This record gives sequence, C-alpha cells and structure tokens, in this order.
Amino acid sequence: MVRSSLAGLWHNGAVFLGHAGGMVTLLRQTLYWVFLGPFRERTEFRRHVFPMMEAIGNKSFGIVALVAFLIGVILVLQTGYILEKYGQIRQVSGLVAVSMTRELGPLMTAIVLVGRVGAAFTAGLGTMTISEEVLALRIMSINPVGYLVAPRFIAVVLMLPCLTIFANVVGMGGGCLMATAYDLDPWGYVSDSIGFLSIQDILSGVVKSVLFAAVICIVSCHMAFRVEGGPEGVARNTMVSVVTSLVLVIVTDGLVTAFMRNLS
Amino acid sequence: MSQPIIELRHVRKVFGGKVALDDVSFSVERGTNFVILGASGGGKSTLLKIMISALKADAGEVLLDGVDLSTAPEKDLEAARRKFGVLFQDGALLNSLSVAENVALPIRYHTKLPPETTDILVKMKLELVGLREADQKLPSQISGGMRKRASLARAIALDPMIVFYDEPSSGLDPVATGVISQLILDLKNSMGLTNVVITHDINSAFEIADRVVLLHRGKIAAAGTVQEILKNDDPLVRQFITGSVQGPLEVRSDELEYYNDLLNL
Repeated sequence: MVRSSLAGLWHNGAVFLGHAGGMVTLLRQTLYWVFLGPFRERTEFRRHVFPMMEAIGNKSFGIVALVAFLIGVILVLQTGYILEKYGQIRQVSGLVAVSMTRELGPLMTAIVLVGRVGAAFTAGLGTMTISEEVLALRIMSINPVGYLVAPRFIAVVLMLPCLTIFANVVGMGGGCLMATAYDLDPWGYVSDSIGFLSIQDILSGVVKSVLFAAVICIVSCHMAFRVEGGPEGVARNTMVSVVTSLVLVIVTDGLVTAFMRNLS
Repeated sequence: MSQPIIELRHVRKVFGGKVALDDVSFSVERGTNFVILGASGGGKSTLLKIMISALKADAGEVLLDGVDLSTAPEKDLEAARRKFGVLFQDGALLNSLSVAENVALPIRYHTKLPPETTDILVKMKLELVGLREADQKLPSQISGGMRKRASLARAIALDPMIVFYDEPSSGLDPVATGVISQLILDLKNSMGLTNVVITHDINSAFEIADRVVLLHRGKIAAAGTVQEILKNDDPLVRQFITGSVQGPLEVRSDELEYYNDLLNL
C-alpha cells in the first residue's frame, strides 16, 4: 500500500517535472523565435499576428467589458455600506481604482482569456497535433514553434495589456455608476479616482498582464503539442491546460505582487 | 551501380519493452517504386516515421542519400528533409489554409521566389495532380481523395528526390485509389522520383511496385520484385496475398490465452 502510494507520488512528480521542463523549453524557443527568429530565419509574423490579435483582442472586448463592469459594480456594492457607516463613502472611488488597476483588472481579464483563448489554443493546436499537421510542418522543415506558437505569443502579449487597461476603465465606470446610488457626484468620483491612482498602480497591472499572457500562451501551446490519443486526448489536455493556466496565473500574481511590494 | 538513395541497416525500435522493429535492413534504388506491405500493427508506421526522421531508431543506421538520420544533428536533418516529401494518411493539410496556400507554404518558406512565380509553380503542381480548379477551397471542403492529391502536390512542391506515401489508398473508393496509383507511376516515369509506399492494399501495391518488402511483427518476412513475391511459397506471404483467415497471421488472440483471461476474471 505504502509502496504503491510512493510509486504513484514518484510517477506524478516525474510527470510534473516533465511538463515543467517542457514549458521552460517552449518558452526559451518561443523567445528565440520572437526576438531573434525574424533576423535569422524565415518567419511570416505579418501574415499571422494581426488576424490572431483580432481573434484574441477585438473579439474579447465584449466579454471583458461585461466582467469588468460587473466587478466595478460589485466592489462598490460590497464596500460602500461599510464606508458609508464610517462617513468615508468618498473613498470608494480610490478603492475601486486601486483594486481594479493593481489586481482585479489584470486578474479577471487573464481569467477570461484563459477560458476564451487558452482553451482555443490547446484545442486548435491539439487537433493539429493528432491530425499530423504539426508533424507535416516539421517534415517541411518549418519550425512549429516559429510558425504556430510565436505569432500567438506576440498577439496575446500585445493584446492582454490593452484589454487590461480597457477593463480598468470599464470597471471604474461600473463603480462610478453604482456610486451614484450613494449620492456621489460622477464627476467628483472620476476626479477622485484619477487623484488616487499613481503611475505605479497602472504599471504594476500592465506588468502582470504581460506575464499572465506569457503563462497562458506557453501552457496552452505546450499542452497542445503533448496531445496523445485522438479527440479524447484533445479534450483532456484542454481541461488540464485551463486548470494549469489558472493556477499559474494566480501563482504569478502572488509572486509579482510580493515583488512589487518589496520594491516599493 | 549507383549508391541506394535509402538504406536501412539492422534498424531496431522498442516502445515500452515491446519490439516494434527488429533487425530491419533493406535498400531503395533511385528512381524506383518501393512498397512496404504489412498487416496493421506490423510496424509499418513506425518504419515510415523513422525513415522521415520523425522518430529515432534505437539501433541501426538509416541512410538517406548518405546522411544517417539516426545520428545526424538537427541542422543536417532539416537539410535532409528538403530532399523528400510525405503524403500523410489523412493528407495533414493545414485546415486554416486553402489548397493553393498549402502547396505554396514550403515554396514560400524555402525559396526567395516572388509571389507571382510561386503562384505559377503552385498552379503547375496542382495541375499535375488534377486539382487546379479546387485551388481556393479549404481542405474541409474537398473529398478525401482530393485531400490526398492536394497533399501530394504539397509533397512535390519543392521537387524532392523521394516521396513517402502513408497508406495512400486508405479510405478511398477504387477509382480514387486508381488515380493515386497512376499519379505515383507518373511521378516516377516523368520526374524520375523515388516513391516509397507504405500500404496494406495488395492490389495497388502490385500495380505500382518495382520492389516489395513484407513486414510482419516488426521483421521483414519477404522481399523481392512483384513476381518473386507472387511466387513465394511461404505460408505467411501466401496468406497475405490471398487474404485468407487461416494461417500464421493471427486475427484473434491465442485460444489458451483466452481461457486464462476468462479464468482470471
């Protein structure tokens, strides 16, 4: 019993290390293709990055706006009555502004993209893996990382910060709308929000969103290339990819927050 | 006599303790049609993957135009890969690209030809396989036989020396199978290509082959010209040619194994 548990633990540890090593290798190869590839090898980023940015960015604005707006509304709803009790209701604008830019904007946008984009990457590239399209690229001496992963990486890393800044603004708008229920003047709310925010708040959120984008892309593409066993394997790896991305996004969030706190 | 274009020497491959290929040796002469026959699970796909450098052999040498694929570094493998094209079992066309874009892909990546010249080359390759009218269609909008022909056009886009075919007749009707077989013969006769065909379709194999090897449980059971294989008295070869249920090629598991399996329940 103990031996089999230990064997299971050993096996799971080996699988975990295998995936971790695979993701580090994929990140290294992707960074090579993004920064050095265009100068040393044949790439077609212009052809692939813009449609990818549209699929990731433009088509996510609606859902990101909805989530961010509701988060802004909920933040005011959850904190407004306490602040009002202590006569500090005007502080709610600062609370929403800092919470959105530092934490909730980047995190909620990343979570939306894990479901919308990460899952699509794993399912799409995983299907290409089982239908031998990825092998066909390798056999044509076209590097799958340069052809498939690098354009996705560039598109997500560019679009997630844009979506995050958009989510921050919409979230503050939601908070502003809800704050009128506490008889706060909307223009006063906006000027208070701007007054509360520092450039570091906004930068911290943007840095987080860039790192979240890298995590989402690398995890989802790695799990796609590891698909085995037909459509069932695609479904299994898509599920693992979404769960792993969510966990790693939150771990990265914690690490960056701790790092930023020490820095300030 | 010229050096063979492909030479396998004592190739062995094991997956998780199960021997997939054992001491496989043969050579393929330039400008010939070479067919590898065998039942499902006999090691054909593994052998193809080793010959196209998608898998490394555990032991032995795989020489492709003098380069040993089992030991060559990645840079040499990339150069070697440009000498051959592959027609995958389901075509393996990129589904997001049209037929023409699929054929143009290797040309765009490996040449510096202007787009107009690339377009002309693509049209020529598609005309060769009879698909010029379907050039703007997506792979999902054409039939299985057309997908295979489009994949063949992509495989020959850069005028390779060798084309590998993975089960070219699987899932096709007899007419579509005949079209693919005729294309294989035409490519050899008109362009001097070497064709290596992996199949279990005995009729199309004998129609196109100059030489045949029969793979059984990872080993070469017979090798020779079509006439030599037809005259072979080996029960295994006879069973494969006639498609008989009785013989050394086991369709069902061993009876004793079955009883033991039942008793273990």
